Amino acid sequence: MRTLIVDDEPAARRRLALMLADLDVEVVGEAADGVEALRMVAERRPDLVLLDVAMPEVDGFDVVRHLPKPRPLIVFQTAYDEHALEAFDHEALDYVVKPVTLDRLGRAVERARRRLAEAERRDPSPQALREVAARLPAPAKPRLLVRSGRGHRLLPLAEIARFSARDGLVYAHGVDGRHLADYTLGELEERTAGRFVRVSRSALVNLEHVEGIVSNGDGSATLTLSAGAAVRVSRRRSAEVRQALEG
Amino acid sequence: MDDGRAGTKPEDERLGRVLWQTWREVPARTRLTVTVMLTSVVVAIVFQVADGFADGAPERVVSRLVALVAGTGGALLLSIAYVLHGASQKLSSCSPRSLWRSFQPGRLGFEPRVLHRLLLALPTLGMISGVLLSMVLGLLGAGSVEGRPLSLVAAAIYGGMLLLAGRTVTRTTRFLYRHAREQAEAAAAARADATEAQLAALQARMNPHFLFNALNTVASLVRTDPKAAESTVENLAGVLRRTLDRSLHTWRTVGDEVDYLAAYLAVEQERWGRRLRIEWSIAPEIRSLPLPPMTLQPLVENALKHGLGTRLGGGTLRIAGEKENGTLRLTVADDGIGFPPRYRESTGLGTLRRRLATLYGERAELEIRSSSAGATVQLELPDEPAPRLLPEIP
Repeated sequence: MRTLIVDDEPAARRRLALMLADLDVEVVGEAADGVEALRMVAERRPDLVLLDVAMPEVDGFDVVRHLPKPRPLIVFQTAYDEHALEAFDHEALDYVVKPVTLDRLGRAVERARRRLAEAERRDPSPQALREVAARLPAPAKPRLLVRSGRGHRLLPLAEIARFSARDGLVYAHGVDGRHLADYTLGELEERTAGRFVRVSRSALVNLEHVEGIVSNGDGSATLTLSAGAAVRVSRRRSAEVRQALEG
Repeated sequence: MDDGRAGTKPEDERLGRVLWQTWREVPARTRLTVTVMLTSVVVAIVFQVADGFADGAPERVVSRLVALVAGTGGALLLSIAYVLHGASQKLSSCSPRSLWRSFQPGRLGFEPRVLHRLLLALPTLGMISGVLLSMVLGLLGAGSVEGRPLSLVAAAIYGGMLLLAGRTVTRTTRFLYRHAREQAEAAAAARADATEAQLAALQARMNPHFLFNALNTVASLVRTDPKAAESTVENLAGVLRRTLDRSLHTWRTVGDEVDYLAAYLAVEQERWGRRLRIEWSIAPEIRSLPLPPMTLQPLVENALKHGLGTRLGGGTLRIAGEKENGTLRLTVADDGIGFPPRYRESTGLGTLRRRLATLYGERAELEIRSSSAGATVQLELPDEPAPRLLPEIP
């Protein structure tokens, strides 16, 4: 079983590698962060990923969301947190608690082997991931993972003028054009709270990129952005948007 | 730092100087009242003496002499009480916090300290002067003032001053009561802050994340790098020992806080690896300066958690300390992502700010500079010897 280790702590990666060797599991790589993890998954096609949840900027849940298909099996590694563990159990996600014991790791690996043999691949649902993520502390993430060509790249939020939704796809409009983002506008709104404001059902705008606002006479308004774009503010949100611009 | 009180100003100044200084500082109205009062006494004495001459009865000489001495003494004591009362009124117009601070032993120079003692004597002064003045009135009354217009005028003046004495006593009592209440409130606030900080220290001590992370690191290192595992266990023990040792009511030194942080950061360094770079710049001469415990720790924790922890590449943490022109300047800086927009002060930072305000008043400064290129928290404290204990809370 080809396994990838993802953990931002060097000593923890080495320890897992040694333990997996004891369990006769082949380690195909060690990634120190989420971006490296995605790259290694694409290149080395592991069967199993031992994925740390708490990592800077691109955490374990971000990684799962961006995994290429066919997806490898995921076993999350998490520090002790009563509420988070409850959520992991409730959503039936496979996890081990750090520092992981050889016995516990052995059982997790055994279960993964069975699933691979039975071709019982069950991707965690985005809903389940959201449920668990909501229970964990959410540190600020100043950059966002977007699709770029065949891979991904981290785009600083400050460089994104707005997000737009169209035909079920969400785009981030950066200085060098638009990129596909694997998040809903609602998720992005939550993640960028305080910096971006929702102006309509289909647009989320970076407050720092707003240059002007003009009333349209029918209660709605039009925002002009630094990139020259014009975005319509819906009637329902215009008061809220003005307030956000003043604050 | 233990002998911090030595070498300050002499305990007590001469009463005369204190009075003179106070006299110059009291409100003009008080000075006017006292002047009128003293003039009245002179007038009353002149009347009494003139009356005595007009009467010419030698058997009344003793009682007149007693009345004269008692009247003069009472009036003088009343003037002193009045001046001090004026001064205390002026003091009470300060904010409760600065008032509270000025009454803390050893905090300020002689003035408020001596004044404070005199202030407590105010009702007594008022009472004594009242008794003396009543005595004079009694004597004059016994001597029957009928048909003696001059004695009548003197009696009226003494009677007026007796009323004044009564008013001084009530006012002073009211002022002292208010002062005691404010002091109690300030003390309660200080106690609450100390409790909160103690709680924070307790949480830091028991912080399950720090402990679990550290144990995870040790478990990882045991196999791969036993030497590093050993030193991490030692550092972890150092952190725990120092946390348990730390009573928040005992002053520590800059050196002590630095050693604590060194152990704490050594544990974190193992976990962060190359993502965390630490630059120390602590001037050797400041190591012995006093510092309230747990002053820098919350700043460092903040920088790791919010500034650098959320950045893929980590960053550099800089801890600096220096002394300049009587000011101790401590800096914790990082080149991380800065404080988040719409940042609200975290509990740790808020508690620290309040603790510093309680301990140093307006002489401590906590300045936060933050941009997308990093955050700097700078602390400026007066470089002064501290008493052995943090201000005792009554």
